[in-house]
Amino acid sequence: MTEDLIEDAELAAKVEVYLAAAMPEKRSLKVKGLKRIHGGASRQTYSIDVLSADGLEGLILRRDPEASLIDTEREVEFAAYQTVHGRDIPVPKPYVLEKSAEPLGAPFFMMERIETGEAANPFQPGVFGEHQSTIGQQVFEYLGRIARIDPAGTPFESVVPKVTPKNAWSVALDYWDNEIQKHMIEPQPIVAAVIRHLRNNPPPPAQKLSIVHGDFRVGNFLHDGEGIITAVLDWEMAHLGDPYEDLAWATDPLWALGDQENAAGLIPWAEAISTWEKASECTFDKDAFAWWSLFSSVKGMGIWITSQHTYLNSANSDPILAWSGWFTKAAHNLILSMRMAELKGLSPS
Amino acid sequence: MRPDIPEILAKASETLSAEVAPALEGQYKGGHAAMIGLIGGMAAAAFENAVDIRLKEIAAMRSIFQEAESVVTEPPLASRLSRASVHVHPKDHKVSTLNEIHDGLTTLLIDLHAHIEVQTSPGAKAIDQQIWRYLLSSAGERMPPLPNFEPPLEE
Repeated sequence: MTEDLIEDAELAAKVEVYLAAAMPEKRSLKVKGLKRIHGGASRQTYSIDVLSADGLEGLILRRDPEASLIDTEREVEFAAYQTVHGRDIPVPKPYVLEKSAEPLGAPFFMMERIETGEAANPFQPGVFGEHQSTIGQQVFEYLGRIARIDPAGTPFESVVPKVTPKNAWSVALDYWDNEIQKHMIEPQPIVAAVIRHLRNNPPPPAQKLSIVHGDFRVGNFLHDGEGIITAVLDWEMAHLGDPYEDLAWATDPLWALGDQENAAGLIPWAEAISTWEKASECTFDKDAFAWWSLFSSVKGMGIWITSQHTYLNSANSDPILAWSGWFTKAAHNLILSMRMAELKGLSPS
Repeated sequence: MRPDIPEILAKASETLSAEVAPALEGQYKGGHAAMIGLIGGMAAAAFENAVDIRLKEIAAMRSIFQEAESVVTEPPLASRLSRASVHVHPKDHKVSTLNEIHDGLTTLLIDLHAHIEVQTSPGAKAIDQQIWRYLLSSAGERMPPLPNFEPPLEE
């Protein structure tokens, strides 16, 4: 728990009124602490200490900003937490979803605060130290468990667009192609060529439809420093799709920082794939995965181009948007050009 | 201008990263200060090469267009290539001026690439390879070095 500290008294007072009405079972409820924390650029994230007759507990408030890194619906993120919580994947318990802007100035949801763990910087080599292998095993185990969930009849299924095994790839590619076209501030010859290549060489239909986290990677889960992942966070890009999509994004070369021997720069590829196959009850097809792997770098470009556009054209001045729109976009441009050069039989020199 | 702008930017960014950000540790804006410090360092490096990179890329694209003229089978595209391959001195060497020229040529490069990559002649394949060599080289030149993340940056 954080010490008593209220950074925004007006917001804290509104939260207190809202919670007292939304959680009447918590008698004598008081907000004792409210502090803005880094939780990605797609939501304003606050850590809140609430004292009631039940004692002190921590909440996380995720509020829509004026403009975000990615345009997402808060219902989707909330429904993802609702669906995944209690399924042997560590996620916070979701509490309340508010779609109206009236109570706190923008739609929001609140969930349990995970008290143990911190997010790792994905661009710091060797960030997990001696626990790299243990963390890696859990990453691929949880990726597999997410893919194994049957979405039918879940809260998540009711709020996300429908896809089929046959069109999962084209829906995903169309979405990011459109985001790139809409937000690019300069012509993008590399990603344009890769998108054409992907359209001309489609993957086989998905072996099943699964919940796709959408942004499962180093930096979007908490770890306790002792080798345990304590929470998988940032479900705002979750959707239904091909189970390879999450596996490919988590292992995109960007997150491996040049380590080609280890998946996601964490554990050997064979071990990662085997762990994922067992946990997901899916099979691994190298050629199908290759399509999704290349697609991941296109998706990355879509995210970074959108963030660049948001930084330059909105009131959201979070410098992570500028960093994403510059460094990570440049990195994915280089990754894509290297991968295409390899496909075309060019040497990197 | 002395001192050079990259020196000023690099120094200011170092102050932000090494002095301001640690003093704000634990505060939301502390993360912002650290990130702005990193971006400032990248800007310092990019400033030095900005004009050079753009002029070289403009020349490289014009060279590709010149070679592609005889391979392109669509007259309107061939005509655009012919016009664009002629070297014209820019009105000035401001980055914004060069960006405008660069953007126009890049749009044409995308059209050329989409046209050429579905052709099967050896000439078309050679142009396709030449375009990819250019794109690979450009992406490499424009890639900023990975900053040194110490202390760990808050996500």
